[in-house]
Amino acid sequence: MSDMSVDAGCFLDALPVGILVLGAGGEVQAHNDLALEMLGIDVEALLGATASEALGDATLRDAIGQVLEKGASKAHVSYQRDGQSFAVTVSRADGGACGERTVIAVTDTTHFKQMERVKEQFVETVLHKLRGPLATVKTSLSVLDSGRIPGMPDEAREIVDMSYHEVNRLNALLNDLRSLFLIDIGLAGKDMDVEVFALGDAVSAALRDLGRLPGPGERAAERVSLEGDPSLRVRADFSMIKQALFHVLRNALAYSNEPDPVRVTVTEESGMVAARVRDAGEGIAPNDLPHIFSRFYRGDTPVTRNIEGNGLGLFLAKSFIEIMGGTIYCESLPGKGAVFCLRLPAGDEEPEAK
Amino acid sequence: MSSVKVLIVDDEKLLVKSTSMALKYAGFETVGVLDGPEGLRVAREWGPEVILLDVMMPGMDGWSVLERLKQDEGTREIPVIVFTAKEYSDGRALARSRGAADYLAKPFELEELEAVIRRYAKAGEDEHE
Repeated sequence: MSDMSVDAGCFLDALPVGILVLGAGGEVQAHNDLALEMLGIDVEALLGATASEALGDATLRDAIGQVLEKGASKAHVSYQRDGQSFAVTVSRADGGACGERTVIAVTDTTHFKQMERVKEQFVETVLHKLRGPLATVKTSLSVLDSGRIPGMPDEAREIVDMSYHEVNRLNALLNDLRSLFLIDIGLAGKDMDVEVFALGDAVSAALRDLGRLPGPGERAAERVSLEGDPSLRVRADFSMIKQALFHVLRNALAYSNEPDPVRVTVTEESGMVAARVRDAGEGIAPNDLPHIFSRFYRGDTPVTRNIEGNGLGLFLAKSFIEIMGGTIYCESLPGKGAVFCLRLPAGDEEPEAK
Repeated sequence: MSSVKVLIVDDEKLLVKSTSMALKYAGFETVGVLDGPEGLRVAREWGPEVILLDVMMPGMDGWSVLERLKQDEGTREIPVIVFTAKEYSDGRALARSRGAADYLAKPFELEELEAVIRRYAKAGEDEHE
């Protein structure tokens, strides 16, 4: 290969990315106009100065320092200027023909970030707007379903009953989609309210929610036994943990056969509180097991095909638990049921003043 | 025996309407309003026995309304049940720390709503004897 330092100038100006090439002392040896434009510096500023000196921004200087002085091979930062957003990568070139050089690459992410914001607002608005009418329909149907309106024909009652259950399902789906959305954009933590509570309380709340949906969860309270020490306290967001338990329990109830019980055992384990959810069902096939926590994954067995659900439950459960600083895993053998083990931070110590 | 008077304060019009209807069928007397200032006015003038209050309203939010209800002598004693967007492990304690009597996460079950109204309407009755 011919000497790259001669050829570099030929294509630098054609790149859609801003480039600065620095020598061992941090001085700018090559650049393109796009870099100057994006970083808002004049070419004169580069003469006889290091890149750090030419760039006023502290974040950028820090990133450059990490590679040039502290030996990092790459540093990524976001940089904003004049209402525009940029992604900046500082990388050490690989030696050989490139010698001891550092390359700064700047990409304009303004449009991308704007589209992200638009998408977020749209989804958030849609989800928010759906909730109101759903709550209204739910309340209205629950009035009709209550039997308090006299003279309703039996067929009408039956239709109302089905509609009421569908609305509850829709509501659950909407909540799941909203959670999925927040997880995807990294904002699942924004709704979080961390409290200290007995894990048994979250299990009871999950069982209550299960009882309201038709299907395997309807007799949840009868089939699930709570053992060990349910009064052990955890530090987490109650609603999220309740939802995680809801999904794990619903799976366990669906995959095991009535009237086999599902056992939830709460114990303390090396500073964490663990809940093991055991069912005695058909178990999970070895080729399904690594994927059960993936979003939208549904195993393809006669049992799974019969289960209502959108494949999000275990993915959301795992996401919620991990956001809380906990872990979840599953052990299962075909024919021998499954055990889901959830671990959460214990809630007994007083929080340290920070 | 006269019906228990319940005031509903929530910015979602149809929710107010359907909840009012539901409560009427359960034997309550209801008035529904769509914002905080109106809620404060009706609370003073109509004298409900229980107030249902959404905390997520635009304009004067529910917590501010709650504060004012507790400051005003005429409405201070009326038990307030707040509607929140999510469930808490001890939401009742949280609600009480702000001056409410209890809370319900939306969307709530009708039975839960009725049970909670009866619980506090009764308590209010006992206090007045």
